[in-house]
Amino acid sequence: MGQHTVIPFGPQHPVLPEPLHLDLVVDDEVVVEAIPQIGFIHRGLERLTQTRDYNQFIYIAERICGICAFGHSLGYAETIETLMGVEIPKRAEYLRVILHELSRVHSHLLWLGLAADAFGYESLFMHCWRLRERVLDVFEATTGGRVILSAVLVGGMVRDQDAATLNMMRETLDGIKDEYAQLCKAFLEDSSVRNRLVGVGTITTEEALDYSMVGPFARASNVNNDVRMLGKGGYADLSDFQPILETDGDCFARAKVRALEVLQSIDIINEMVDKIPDGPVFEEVKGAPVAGAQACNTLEQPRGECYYYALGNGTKYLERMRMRTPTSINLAGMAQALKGCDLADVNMIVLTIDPCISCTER
Amino acid sequence: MGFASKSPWVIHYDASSCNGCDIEVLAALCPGYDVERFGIINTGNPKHADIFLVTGSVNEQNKPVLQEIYNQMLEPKVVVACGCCACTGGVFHDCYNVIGGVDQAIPVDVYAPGCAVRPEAIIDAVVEGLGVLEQKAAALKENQKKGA
Amino acid sequence: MAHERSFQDISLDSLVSTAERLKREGWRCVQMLCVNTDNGVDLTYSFSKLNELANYQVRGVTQGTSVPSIQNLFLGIFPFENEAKDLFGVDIEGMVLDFAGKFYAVAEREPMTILTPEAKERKDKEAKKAAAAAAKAKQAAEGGSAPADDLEAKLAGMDPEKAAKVRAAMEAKARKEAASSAQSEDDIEAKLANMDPEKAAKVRAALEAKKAKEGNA
Repeated sequence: MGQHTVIPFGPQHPVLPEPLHLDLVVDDEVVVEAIPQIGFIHRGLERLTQTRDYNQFIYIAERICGICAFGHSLGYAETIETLMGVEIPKRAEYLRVILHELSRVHSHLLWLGLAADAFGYESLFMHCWRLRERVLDVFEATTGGRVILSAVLVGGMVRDQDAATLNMMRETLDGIKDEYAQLCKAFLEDSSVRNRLVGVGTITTEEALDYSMVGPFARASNVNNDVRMLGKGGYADLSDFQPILETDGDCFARAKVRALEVLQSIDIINEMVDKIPDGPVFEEVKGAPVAGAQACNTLEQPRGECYYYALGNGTKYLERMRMRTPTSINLAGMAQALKGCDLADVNMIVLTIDPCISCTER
Repeated sequence: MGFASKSPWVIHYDASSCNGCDIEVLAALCPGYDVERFGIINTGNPKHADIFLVTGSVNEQNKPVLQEIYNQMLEPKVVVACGCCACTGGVFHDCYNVIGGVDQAIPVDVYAPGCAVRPEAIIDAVVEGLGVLEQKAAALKENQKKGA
Repeated sequence: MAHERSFQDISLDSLVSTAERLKREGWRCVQMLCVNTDNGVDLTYSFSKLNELANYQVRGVTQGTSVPSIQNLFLGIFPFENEAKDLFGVDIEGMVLDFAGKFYAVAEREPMTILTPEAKERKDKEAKKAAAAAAKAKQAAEGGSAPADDLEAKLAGMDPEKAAKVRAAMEAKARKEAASSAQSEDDIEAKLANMDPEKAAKVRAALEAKKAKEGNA
């Protein structure tokens, strides 16, 4: 005892679809400290504002991350609209919320699948991804893309959706509800799942506040930081919105928060489809941001709060565009959650923060 | 048909992709497209793999990782570049930290374009890669005969 | 309930005391970002509490000025402080998790402080345009105005080589126009003299009508 070993974890690792490197300082089988190391997929796209104008940059913004693609194009568009002081048509705001919540359903199903894979429940993984394909079919029918949707423009949406398409969307979601209930049952009641997740990688409420954690990672530790009702757009018109909170702060609580958020998102989509007003979905934005004008914006993405900042310089090219993505602020919390865990639980804990490395590094 | 091309095992590495192509690579393996029914299995071990699926462009930090995985794979092996970024650098071609497509680091046999690359395109590319794998296996056999 | 967003300038000296106060009051750290300007790097620290989002900005941090780290108060900020060091060359002092410039391991040093050629060209153009507009405004205020002002303002915005070419081309064009109009009138007169008088009279009438029409238009 007392002999510390450093075990490198990643960047190529079977459980990680993405390259994240951790230096795990272990004492026998117990992790004493975890130091995250990134930089494998840093592209430097924030500097591309120098060569792409604000209308072109939305295509860069949505390629920050393929899983939260819609969220990034939405957050970017809202920030530029704030910067230039334009209002977009109400129908476009509703459509944005519908597609954003649908992305949350797809993202959470993806995560639930990966989590199942991480604790070795292969068939559950496959069932999650099978349901996810149905959501992707809806994306394909409404926007033409499966992953990168290119549905948002600065000033509104690329195209309107007719009543038949919105109905199809609702029917598809109603159709998966039953099967999803079975998945939830497996996740939340199966003893083999509970054995792997309960009490693993616990984060207390104080720690969550201390490390400024965001998203479901923090909500599982009873920290309410859901900014959906605080941001711009159609969320303000929801009749009732209660963020989903858990108190245990372990891996199981994180899985539960995400599992329940899928149902919440389906409810939001149904309400929005019912309420959606008629009208145009796009209004061209003219001119350029004023020199020195700055705007910031937050958006609740599937992985948590995302912060955007834009600074104009009088031309169509932005002086600075900044995105602070949820995973980057959660890294410190992840390192904390890893302290004291078993080596065999490392991949599970890393996964429960829903890391999105390409978001983090941009 | 050689033994490898009947049930090729694939390994996937995300060079500096936006995740879009990564999840499509996984989607191709999962229900919906389900290439596993043809014996195509995803492995995490380079030494088990016949086909190397790379997504995303190359930068200074991931270049050695990519080369390391490639070198660890045993012959015959095929590299498939999945997505526009892996083919040419794509929309990020002029970023300061992007060198270019995967062919800047390791030899590429098949290019699958798309942003994000569609699962159909990945399957097509893998099927095409099997032909290359077959050729490489035959050439390897020929060389071994000569050597013997 | 919408987010209340605010921007506020603070001095570099009060950064740590501000962060300490916010920590005591239960704010959470949202992010830190850098903007490269002509007068150094501007730092923006964002904090959030309930529905408030406050941005504190430290202006013009020049090379050689060290910025105290606030990681001991908000550890979550470590990726951004390291990023500031790697990409902007800001000297952050006393970091808890210090990757010593190896966080991103980029090929280019401090890449976010470098302007791409396109951006530099555009920036120079904007500066010249602004200067020309200022000069014009000054001239207008003094009462004198030249018709070529607009063009001159445009030329000022171009790169000098191109502007010289445009100027030369315009002068040549003006010379040619003057010469050709004089010449064409002479030509017609010579042609008319050779025609039979009746036809010449008709042509002259037609030409005059055309001129009158052009004049009206």
